[in-house]
Amino acid sequence: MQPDEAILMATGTALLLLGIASIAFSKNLIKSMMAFQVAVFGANLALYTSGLLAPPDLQIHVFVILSILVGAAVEAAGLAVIVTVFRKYRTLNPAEIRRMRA
Amino acid sequence: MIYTAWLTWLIPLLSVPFVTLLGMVDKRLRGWFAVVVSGASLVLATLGALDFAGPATESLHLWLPPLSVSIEVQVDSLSVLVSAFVAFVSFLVVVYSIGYMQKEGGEGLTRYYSLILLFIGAMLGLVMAGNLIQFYFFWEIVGVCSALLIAFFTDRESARKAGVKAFVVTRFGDAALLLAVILVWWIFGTTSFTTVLGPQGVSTLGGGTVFLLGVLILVGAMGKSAQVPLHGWLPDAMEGPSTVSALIHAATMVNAGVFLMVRMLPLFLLQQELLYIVTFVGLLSALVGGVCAFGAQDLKRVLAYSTISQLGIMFAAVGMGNGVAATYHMVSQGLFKALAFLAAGSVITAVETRDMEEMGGLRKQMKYTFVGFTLAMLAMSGLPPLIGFWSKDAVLSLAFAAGPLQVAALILAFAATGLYSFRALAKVFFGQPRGKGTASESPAVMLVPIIVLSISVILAWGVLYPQTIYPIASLGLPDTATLATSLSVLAASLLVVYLAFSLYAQKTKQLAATSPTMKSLKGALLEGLGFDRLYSGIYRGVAGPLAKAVSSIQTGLLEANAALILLAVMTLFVLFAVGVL
Repeated sequence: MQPDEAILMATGTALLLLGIASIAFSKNLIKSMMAFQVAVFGANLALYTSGLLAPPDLQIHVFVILSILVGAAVEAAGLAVIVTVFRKYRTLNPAEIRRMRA
Repeated sequence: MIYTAWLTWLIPLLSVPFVTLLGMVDKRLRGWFAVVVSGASLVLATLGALDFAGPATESLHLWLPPLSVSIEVQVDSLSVLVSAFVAFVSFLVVVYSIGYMQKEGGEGLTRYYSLILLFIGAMLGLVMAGNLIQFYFFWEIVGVCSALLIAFFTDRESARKAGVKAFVVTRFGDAALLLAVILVWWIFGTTSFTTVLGPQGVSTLGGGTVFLLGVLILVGAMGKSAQVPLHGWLPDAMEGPSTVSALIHAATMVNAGVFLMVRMLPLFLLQQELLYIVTFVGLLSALVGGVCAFGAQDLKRVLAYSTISQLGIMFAAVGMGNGVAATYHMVSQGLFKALAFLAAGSVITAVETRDMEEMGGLRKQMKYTFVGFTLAMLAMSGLPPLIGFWSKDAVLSLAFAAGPLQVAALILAFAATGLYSFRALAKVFFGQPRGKGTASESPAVMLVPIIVLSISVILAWGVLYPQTIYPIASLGLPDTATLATSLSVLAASLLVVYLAFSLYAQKTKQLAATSPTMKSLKGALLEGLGFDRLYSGIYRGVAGPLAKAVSSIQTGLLEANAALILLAVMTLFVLFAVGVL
């Protein structure tokens, strides 16, 4: 692994971990959504980097672009859900939204 | 390019979203749009059958490159015949739906017609599929659609439960089939039917692998085709609208299993043991279904158990090594069962109950429905020259070649068929009216499909037997032995029913009420020989505690879940860094 690629890979991994950690500790659904996107970007970056390793694989890059597109769609859907949740519960704190529990 | 083979299933599948859009313009458009789409599908399937020149496969596009799966169609005599038949029955059911769903309240019709079109398109796609992965894809869509349609009346708890049950029970079979698909892909690197069933395919495998594959595929087909012991979902599926029952029983859902068996028949022919297992499963289901149908109180349950029984006969035909007879009986069963369900739906909306105890004496009030139902029951019990006679005798003559045990079991199953058919007929249409109000005949849009199916039940043999697409003529005409057997079985069951009903008012009823053995027998038949109780016992004993243990982990807290994911990812990293993985 070349130094550049090692840096990319490490950044991707760090983003993924940071994203998941922020989801775990955030008290606001919108921040959770942002953290989720950070995690997805980290994963995409790591995936993209793995496409640079020998032999270079274009299919992986195509897949990364697909993943970015799907990520955008997921973000839109997620924000829509959050808006609905806010209208219904008047709060965005996941700990307070407990009415889904049986 | 064989356009018909592609468009037959693509048109219904692609038209699904338009139901919603048209519903926004005018609500009445939804039903007629479905009629037009399924009609187009029927025209294309018929054209495909008429233009059929010989077996061919066509692949359009590489769909899953890593698995080397392409979207392909397989045009052969089997897929052409079955797709034309499926499209025919589905079209009539959709036409009937327009009148029937209006009578049922007319709520949620967007959902109804979208699902129906998806259901039909998926079934046609399954029939035309050229490889196992594509087949499995449509197989699952068919399963989901049927579960959702069974639970169509979402405000009834029993309907929701029946939908879940259908989904869960067929899942056992689906899991087995998925394993079989993976196994095939793993061995051959492709799942194309032409390769897998060709000279370089399954015939080169060892005995153990063939047996494993055969059993997995059989279990998959058993789940879909409701064979004992995976049959429990079919009688409960009666909670859906009658049109859905007609589709599930005649055209789409349950036939998929038999179709799979016929498609994979070259695999089963490799081992005699496999064939014996298939025959055993089929004959067992034929008997269990026949016996349970005799005890059922609910008109649609009688028909459901009879479907299990008829499907068992098809499996037995496959087990006796003849796919042509199985397909023939599938088509024949599809025609008369669709007719029976449409007629039953007409009766049920007229008297507003499914309990046969509250029907009776309807033959004067509902003349057309009566004629349709009678023809369906006569065809089911095998009266010549209706279509059921020819297909059942084809299976019976196979049994004569196979052995005395098979003959005995088949004759018992046929006798049960005759008994429950005549019983249902007598209870619904003869005797004194036991219902509350007066019933009246259904509207023309419901009667036309019944009339068309009645005619087809009478004439289908004349159309199907001499056709050159599918080698039905190779089955030959019934010889004297099969003819004599089936006619005497029919006569005996008629006699039994006549005696039972002439005595019904006095002795039979008394006996059933007083004798404890008769009472417990009646109870056992009513609950379908206790299969459901057995399964709920197993669930309570094993699956229930397990589910409880797992559900305590499911806190539903976002933070907790994310923290657990983080922990798992970190652990993986550490393991990776240390070099364990």
